[in-house]
Amino acid sequence: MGKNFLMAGFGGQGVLLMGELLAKAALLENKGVSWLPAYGPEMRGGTANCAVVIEEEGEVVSPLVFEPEVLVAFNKPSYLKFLPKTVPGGIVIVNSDLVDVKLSGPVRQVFLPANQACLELGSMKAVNIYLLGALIALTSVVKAETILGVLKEVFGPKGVYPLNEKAFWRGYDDAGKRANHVETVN
Amino acid sequence: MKVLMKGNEAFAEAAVRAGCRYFFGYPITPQSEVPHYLAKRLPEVGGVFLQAESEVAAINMVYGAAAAGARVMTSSSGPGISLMQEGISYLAGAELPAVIVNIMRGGPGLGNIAPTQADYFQAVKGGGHGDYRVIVLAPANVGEIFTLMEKAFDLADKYRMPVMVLGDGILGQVMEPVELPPLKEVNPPPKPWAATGKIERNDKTRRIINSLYIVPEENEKHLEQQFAKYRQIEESEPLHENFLVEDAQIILVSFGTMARIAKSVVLKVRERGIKAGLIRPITLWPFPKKAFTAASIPAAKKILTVEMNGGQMVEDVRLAVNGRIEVDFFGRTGGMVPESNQIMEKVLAIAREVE
Repeated sequence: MGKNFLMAGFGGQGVLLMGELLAKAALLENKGVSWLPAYGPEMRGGTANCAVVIEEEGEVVSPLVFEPEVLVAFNKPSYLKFLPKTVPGGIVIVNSDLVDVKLSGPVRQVFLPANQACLELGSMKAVNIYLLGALIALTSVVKAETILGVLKEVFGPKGVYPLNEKAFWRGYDDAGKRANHVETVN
Repeated sequence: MKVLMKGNEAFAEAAVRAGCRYFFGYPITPQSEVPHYLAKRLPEVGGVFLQAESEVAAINMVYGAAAAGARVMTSSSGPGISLMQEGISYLAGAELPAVIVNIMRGGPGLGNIAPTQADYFQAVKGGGHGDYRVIVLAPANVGEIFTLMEKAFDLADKYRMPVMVLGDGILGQVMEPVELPPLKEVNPPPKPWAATGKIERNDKTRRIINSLYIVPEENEKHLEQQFAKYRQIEESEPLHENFLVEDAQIILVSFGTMARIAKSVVLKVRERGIKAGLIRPITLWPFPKKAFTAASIPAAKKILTVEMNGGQMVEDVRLAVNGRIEVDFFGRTGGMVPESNQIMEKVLAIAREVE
């Protein structure tokens, strides 16, 4: 069955958009895909998460993700809530600027200073795209060029695309550098 | 070319492509994208979108448009659908075709906006007052929303009765790739009964659309005609999907998005050598009874119905097997979704029992 992704953070961090961009890229590569937001009474500053399932061939069986294989934790509450649910051997991508604890678990944890990196690039609003870059570097679930095509389409060729392109590659490179010495805490 | 589309938007676009040109409704989570989408879309195709002052008003506007021969729909969720029940009963009584979408949310009462299947009884067993049926269809993914919405309008016209399409918050909010069916000319069947205006028709006959049968003998006769129609529907319209049932000793039964979680459980337990299968009713009324005959599930030793409620469809499953096989139930309610691991534990326990 397909690969399960869960992205979680605060409302306003672009969590749902990150999932949507990933889903769009998967569709462009003719994969089966589903995107499901947690649609509770969420608001800016509240919790937000979305589940993406990508199937190499055929349609997605179930769009619900109870136990992610890949978790992107944008903040501490999400990290604390979903890391214990991540499957053994799964990947947990952590925004270390907003997570000041470390849980143990049979998963690969990659800590990345997403806020700081995006501030250096010019805007913290690109944190979701930075983490998307990291996710692609660590999972290769879709090609980087496919994602960039989607970013260009969604953000427009001028506008905020250049910043987001930079954030994508920064996340991609940072994760690549750390991928060789990721922490597997047992 | 496939596009990514949200379930709620698919209900709306599918209606347009099925020839629906009139929508009357009132917003409520988790289905508000349906009216949102149609507010923009219907004027583009010469249709009418109207946000009514209440669900009660909306369903009676649906009644009016249906009486005039239009392809018309409304959509709502739990509390709004409850408000519409009087109108739905009137539609049934007056033999008017209309499509009602219910994207179910946690109840009873105000409840919450989380996904549920708790309106199964309300949809399938009547909902409003009086002796009547509505056809109930339950899509499980965004692609199927398109096929079943078209079917809903066709069945409504064919049998002159309301058709309900039942989804849950997950189906409304999920985004999936879908191949849009081509925009085609839709020609609904002629409606010689419709109140289209004596002058326009240039004839002198009156068309009276009413559910008032004050003489009981006449009402009984009217209802006997309806029940003859219902028997015909029960004979020719049931639909279901079978998944690995031929050799299955344990048969899971689920509808809508719940069936997709159940299907993932079937695949998981099959990896462990457990012969499980899934029956997914697509029409909830008429219930696909023939899927449960001894010939249809020859290896079945036990049935497990899984629902997002406290146990509703399980009663129809029990009626269908009529005591021949034991029927167990697993569900979560109040807006909670049964998790695949919880269902799997239940299936594994049954497997040990069956061995």
